[in-house]
Amino acid sequence: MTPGRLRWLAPRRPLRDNPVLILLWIGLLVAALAAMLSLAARSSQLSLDFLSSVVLYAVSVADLTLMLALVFVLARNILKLVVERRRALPFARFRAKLVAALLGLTLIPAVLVLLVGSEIIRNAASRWFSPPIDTVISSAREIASDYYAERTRAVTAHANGLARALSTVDLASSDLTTIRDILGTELGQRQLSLVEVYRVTGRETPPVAAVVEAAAPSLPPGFAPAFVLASRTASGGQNWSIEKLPSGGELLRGSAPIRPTPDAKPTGVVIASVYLTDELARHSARIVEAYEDYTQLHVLRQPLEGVYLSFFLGLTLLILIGATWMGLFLAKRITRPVQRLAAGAREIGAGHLDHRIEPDTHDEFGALVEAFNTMASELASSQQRLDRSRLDLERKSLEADARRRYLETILERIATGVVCFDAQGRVSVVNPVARRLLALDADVLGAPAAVVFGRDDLRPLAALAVANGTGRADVAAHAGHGGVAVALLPDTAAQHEITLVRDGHERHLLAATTTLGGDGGALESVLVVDDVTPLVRAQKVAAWRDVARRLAHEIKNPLTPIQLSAERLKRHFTDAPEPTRRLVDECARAIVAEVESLKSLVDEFSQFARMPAPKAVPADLNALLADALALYAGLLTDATITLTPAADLPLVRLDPEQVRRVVINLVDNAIEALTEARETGRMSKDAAGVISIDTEYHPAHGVVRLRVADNGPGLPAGDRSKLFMPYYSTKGRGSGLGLAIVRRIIAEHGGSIEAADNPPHGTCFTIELPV
Amino acid sequence: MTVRRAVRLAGLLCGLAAGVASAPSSVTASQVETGADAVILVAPQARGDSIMVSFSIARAVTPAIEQAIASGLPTTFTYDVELRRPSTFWFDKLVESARIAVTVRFDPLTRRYHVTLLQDGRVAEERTTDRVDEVRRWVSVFERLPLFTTRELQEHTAYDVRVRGRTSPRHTWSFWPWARPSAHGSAGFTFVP
Repeated sequence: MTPGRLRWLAPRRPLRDNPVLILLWIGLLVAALAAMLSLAARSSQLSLDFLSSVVLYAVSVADLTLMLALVFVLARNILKLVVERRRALPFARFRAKLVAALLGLTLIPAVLVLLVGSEIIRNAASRWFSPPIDTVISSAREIASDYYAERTRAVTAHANGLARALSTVDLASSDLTTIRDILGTELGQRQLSLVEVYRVTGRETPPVAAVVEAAAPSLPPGFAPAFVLASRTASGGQNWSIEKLPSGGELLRGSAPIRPTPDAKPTGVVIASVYLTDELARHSARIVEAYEDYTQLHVLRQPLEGVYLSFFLGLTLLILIGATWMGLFLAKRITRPVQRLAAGAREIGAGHLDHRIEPDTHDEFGALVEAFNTMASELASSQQRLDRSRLDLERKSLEADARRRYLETILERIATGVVCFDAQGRVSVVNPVARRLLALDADVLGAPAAVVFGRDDLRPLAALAVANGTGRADVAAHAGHGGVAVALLPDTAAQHEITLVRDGHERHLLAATTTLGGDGGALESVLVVDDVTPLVRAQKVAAWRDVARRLAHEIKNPLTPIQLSAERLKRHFTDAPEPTRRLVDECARAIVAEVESLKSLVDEFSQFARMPAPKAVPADLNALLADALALYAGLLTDATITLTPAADLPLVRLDPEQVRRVVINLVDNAIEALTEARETGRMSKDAAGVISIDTEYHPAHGVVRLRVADNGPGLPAGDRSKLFMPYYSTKGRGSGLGLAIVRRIIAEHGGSIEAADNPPHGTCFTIELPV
Repeated sequence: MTVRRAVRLAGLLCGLAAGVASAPSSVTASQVETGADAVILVAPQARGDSIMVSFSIARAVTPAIEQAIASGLPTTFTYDVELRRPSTFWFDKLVESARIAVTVRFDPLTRRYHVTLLQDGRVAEERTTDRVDEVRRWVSVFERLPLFTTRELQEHTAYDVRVRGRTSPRHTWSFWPWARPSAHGSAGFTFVP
């Protein structure tokens, strides 16, 4: 596509922005105005007929066109203004008022001029006519007309006389002497200027032929033969005519047919003419012209008035159109830059800071537009700086959030309890591990440290706190809550092992406090709490294992010599007297039995000390339980064992033999507890013993929970902490290593075991194994 | 029914009513339109290959026109003669048309009237008289003018001859520049060769 075509495809430039078109339209208006003025000035030179027909038609059409144009311009712009006002476009009312004011300022004087001018034209037209002038002009025309009529009658009478005189003459004869004599005589007597004789020739064209003519000496030359008049006269028609001579003046002709007899056909035509001088002819022509002008003016008075009224109307319409257009033009020129500024301000307000206004002019509006564009540029640059700062802040905020989430995640995931205190000694952060270890509620956030650590079970932890300078007043204020004044020591990094007892269980915590530096002397502190209970337990078990190993070693060695010595004594006294032999036998048996018992005890110690590591494989715990409990089928009379396996239990990595041993140990303990309770009367002999075993899967914690509960008399609360210790037994017999081995096995599997009451009475062991 | 359809139907009904109203009620009988300023009596007649049209107007020369003529103002009486075939449901079809113009020029000096008859712009006849009654007759009575031919006509078909007359120049003024005909007349006939 060529640039020329592209140029045509471009949006059309508005008229108001095209100086060439504006000048062209102004030129057209001025030309139309000049043409109308010129036509009005020349109207006196134009014929009335031309004025009342062509000019009137043209001016009326022009008026109609102008009126339609005016109506169109007004209707279009009124409609636009109405629409703009309904749309509440800015400056619509201002534009409407401006256009109305300009139009009104022009319309009122223009209409007044039109009305006054029309009235003046009507009055002037009425003054064109007056009765005296009517009389003079009509009389003059009558005189001239009568004169011509009289001369016509006279010359026609002369022609008739000549025709009678020539009626006997043979016009076809070649001898024209007679005719010349007659014509010469009559020419002189009747004061004629010219006498012509024509002969009727019949079918020829023209049907007459000139025979002879006789002219007076005073007749100017240049007259032409009157064949037409002669022909018409011969055919019985016109018998006179008026002919203008080239040299001026007129020739008034009268004709008469020449007939041999009154009833015969014409054989010729005689034409008598008199010469009217040029002055007379011109006077007559002026009289007729004046008469025609005057009477035609009278006849065409209304159309002529219409011509001048149309001129006025056309001028008025031109002025109105010009005023309307100028009003609209000025209104647009004034309001358009302001509208564009308003639109630009709206765009800027909407956030389009790259919006710019193209300056139309270089006047004050142009300067205003330039200032607006400068302001928009500065706003844009400021916005860019703000955006950059905002982005930087957002980036830093994101980084801070990320760090915060990172720390929160760490605090959530670490196995260490963390409690942070602000400079006022209030709890600002508590992670879940700290809440769990210290049994704190979520609402401790914001609570003073004195309140939190004033609780009875946390009193050992409160001992870590000493008053410092910053939190002293606050601590003193809250001292009454728990009876303990708590504040964290600045620059303290001491570690203290603390044992908390809750629900009969001991929990060993390693607590450390650290003071963080703050602005203006305000100090923040962090309390870190580690649960070292498994470690302590492991240390105790290790110690017991070492003790067991030493005991087994130290005890097992002398047992065999003792047993052999006893058997040797028994054999030595085989031949002794009966009382002696019986005494030795009883003693030897007792020694051997006790040695066997000690060997059995030593074996258990050895087994406890040398327990192998579990060989974990994925196993079905429910199937393992069912297999282990099958051993008790039909053996129990006073108790029932129920198994409630979980349906969704996943496979658990465990050593089946060790776990089976755990289950059997717990069930045996329960059976023994029920039996002993019946025997000691702590439980009715008629009461049915129930041992409930169930499994449960906790996906959220990733553990499988196994509960073994009985409805026996239960355990004293004070014994629960010692329950899993070696050599502790409530049965009064046995090694006391069963539950210690159970705990060790569960611990070797990464799990835990807890003992608790089984309401309303009984004991419940809960084992958690990781999946 | 949509509004546009209703408007179309109403327009069709109006067209039908107008067509019925404008249809000729009889043939070969001279008709006179009423309601016009002046009445033109029209009498068409098929003669040989031509349609001879005679028409006359009772008051062609009004006192105002006579005054205008007497002022020496050339006055033209123009008659537009149209041969149309009526249509019931549509506009009548124009078969042929002719324009008769009679210009009267009065010479105040000789008191004679020069009358020129033009048919379709061609001078058909020129006359001179000093009698105004003859002038009145020449401009208002036209006998057997062979204006149309029968070549385009269909046998046993009804036709209308319409004549509209006007004078110029206008002696009155109105803002509307286009003058309407001041006289009307029409007559129907059935073409029978």
